[in-house]
Amino acid sequence: MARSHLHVGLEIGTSKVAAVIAETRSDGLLRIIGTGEALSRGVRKGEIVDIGKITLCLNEAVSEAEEKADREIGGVVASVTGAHLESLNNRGGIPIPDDRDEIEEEDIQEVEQSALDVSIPAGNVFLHTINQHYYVDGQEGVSSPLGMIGRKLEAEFHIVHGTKTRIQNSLRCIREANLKVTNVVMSAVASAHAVLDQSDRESGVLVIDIGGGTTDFILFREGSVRQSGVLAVGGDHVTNDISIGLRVPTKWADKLKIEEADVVPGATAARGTVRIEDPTYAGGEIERSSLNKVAEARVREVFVLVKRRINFDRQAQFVGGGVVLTGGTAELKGIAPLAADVFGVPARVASPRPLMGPTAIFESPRWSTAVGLVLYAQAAQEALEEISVFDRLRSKIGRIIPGL
Amino acid sequence: MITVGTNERFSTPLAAVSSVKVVGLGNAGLAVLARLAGEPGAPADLVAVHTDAKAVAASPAARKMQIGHGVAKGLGSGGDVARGRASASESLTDLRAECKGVEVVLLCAGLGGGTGSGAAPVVAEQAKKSGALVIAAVTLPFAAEGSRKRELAEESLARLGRHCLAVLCFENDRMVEVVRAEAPVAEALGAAAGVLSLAVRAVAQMVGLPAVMPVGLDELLQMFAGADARAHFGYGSASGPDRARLAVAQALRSPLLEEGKLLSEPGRVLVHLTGDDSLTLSELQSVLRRLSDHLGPATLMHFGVANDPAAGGNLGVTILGCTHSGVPSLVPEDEDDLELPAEPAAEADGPAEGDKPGDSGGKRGKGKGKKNEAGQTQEELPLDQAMRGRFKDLDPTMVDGQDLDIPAFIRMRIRLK
Repeated sequence: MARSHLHVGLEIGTSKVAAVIAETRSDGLLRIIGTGEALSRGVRKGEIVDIGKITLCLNEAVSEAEEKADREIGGVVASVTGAHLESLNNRGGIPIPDDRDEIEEEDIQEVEQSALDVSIPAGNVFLHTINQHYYVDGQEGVSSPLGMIGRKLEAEFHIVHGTKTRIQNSLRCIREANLKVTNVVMSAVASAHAVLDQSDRESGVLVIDIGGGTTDFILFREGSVRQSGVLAVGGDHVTNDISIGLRVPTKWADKLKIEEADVVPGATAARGTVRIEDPTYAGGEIERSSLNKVAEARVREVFVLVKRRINFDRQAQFVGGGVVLTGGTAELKGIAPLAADVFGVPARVASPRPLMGPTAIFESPRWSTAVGLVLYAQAAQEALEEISVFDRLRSKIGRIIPGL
Repeated sequence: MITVGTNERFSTPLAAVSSVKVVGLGNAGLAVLARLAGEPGAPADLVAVHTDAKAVAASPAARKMQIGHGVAKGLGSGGDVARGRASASESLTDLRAECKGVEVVLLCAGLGGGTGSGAAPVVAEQAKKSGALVIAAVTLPFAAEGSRKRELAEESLARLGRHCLAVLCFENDRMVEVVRAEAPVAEALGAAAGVLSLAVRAVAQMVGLPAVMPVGLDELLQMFAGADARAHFGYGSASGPDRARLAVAQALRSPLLEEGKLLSEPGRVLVHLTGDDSLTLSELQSVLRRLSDHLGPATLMHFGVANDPAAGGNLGVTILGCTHSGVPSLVPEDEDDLELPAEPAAEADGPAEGDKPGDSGGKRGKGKGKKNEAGQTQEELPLDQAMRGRFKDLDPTMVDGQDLDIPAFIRMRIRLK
């Protein structure tokens, strides 16, 4: 770990493209040295629909970050999202050969292979295979079985997979911008890296990252990932609902959402009106109660759908850390009390954990995914350096997405 | 809409049928045959039946039958239902002979006209008597054609229901929704015949092709057992590597499925895939997964796969849905009457009372009940495309049969000031 490493996170979101350049210094600490942001065009509900347009946005964000960092970058860690991402848990098991009792490295590899032997739809590829824990002779909760004595090794993995062509679209536009993709990470996984620490994960927590076009969620229990997924509904839907419900142009709907809407339970009974201050718009006044009703209905539905999707009721007792909200839409007023109301556990809004670097980005939940990407990259780098050369050959992502 | 004659019950499952005959009746029926004749993979046995000698002669169907020589004298029935009926009655033996030894008769006709409305129930009855299972695919007249025509059509529909295993009933108004408003009339009518011919072909394939995973008449029947209301139809076909997705998308675009929305209502859905040997398990899964997003939590899906060697790389997806209105079917059980239906005078006040379940108005009550339910559905789910706002050009995000792109407050029916 003598050299310093440059890590670049690139989030191609529905509402913005965000680039974060971070440096791991020789003392092992991560420092953010440049950030860039551009309005996103050509992305709908988290998926790229116009490669030409998004490539321009991407160039803009990356150039800004490069300028601030005064570095030129070559490779990036990119996030992917979209409703095509799916996840499942699978348990694999192998017997330990008769001629020995001790579990060896190759057994761990073999059990991982057996856990990955699941059928995913044709045209899908694995994005993540996250180890949850091992079982030795049926004994639960083994985190590192190497060297243990046993006759049978089992492992449970959380597997994330998605449509190959859609993942490739993200990669393609990054390549169009003359950048190399070194790693691909599910947005929810990245965001969780940014907003959680080890103790959060241990106590169990549900992270919901509500962006512009999607809501990405990931649930940790006893330190490991149990559930994850994407719902193709986000802040844009709130804006759209406001625009339709209150009959105002999108621009105003967005402004009303950010500045005025309050989704705290009970705010639907709010009194008074909001005046639209625009000389070019003669729309007049908006009922506060209507605005809040429209916004609350949508956000509540998102929470209810996530709750149902992950079967939250069965997990609630293992989620001591409650619900952690992040992503741009988490800035919506009253969103944490609404989440607490729906999930029945405490909820809070979280921004990225502070690192060294410009403070502005640690004060907004909008940056969670991009910051999470560099943290993920750093963690992957450390893991790579610590594990044996033998292990490096099975470097996960390389195998998981061929032709990266 | 599909309605089912409630007096048909089968206790034994049926194997794939070996003989299917498509009978086109009247102008609309012949138009469907003309389309089927021009398409590859269409059922082979087409029978054209009409009172009009010229129309019969012009039909590309292999078998031609002019009915009512004496009554109609080789002309059309002139919109007279009684004449249509009498013409068919005159040719009873011919009709029965034509259907002899056929396992399934698919009868297509346009209701509202003379030959279609008058003769269809008779033809269905004779086909049934000759031992065939009868499935009818019929159209209801355009609303603009007037309420009297509509009444005639619905009367005929109710009579037809008694002799048929199932009646796939299509509203002309709905079918032409695929066509631009400024399209020529011929194109609009052609589109209606096109939809009908697709439905006929799909059902013929469903029951006639060797099944890999059978869904046959028994399943059709089971699905429509006690069916008391309306059902929906969608068909899509595509080739190439992405054919599973494309075919499903096309099937869901069918106007009769209301963009797939109707699948979300409680009831049953039958999905039938046809393809040649290149059809893979993962494509099958892909089709079912895509469709399952559109199904409501209370919707039951049956599916089947048939091998069509003539598919030529095409994957066909047929969706037949059925929703129950909760109003019991009121098709009268008195069979085989060849008398004219109850005189219109007795039913003049039908529309006002027809909705009540158990209404003695019988078939009229049924007809009105269906119509009203369809009307309600439209009120509850207004103009989706406009309601999707900025998402209108994107694939909908379907969860539990709901399109999440439609504002949440609208779907939850939250009242705003």
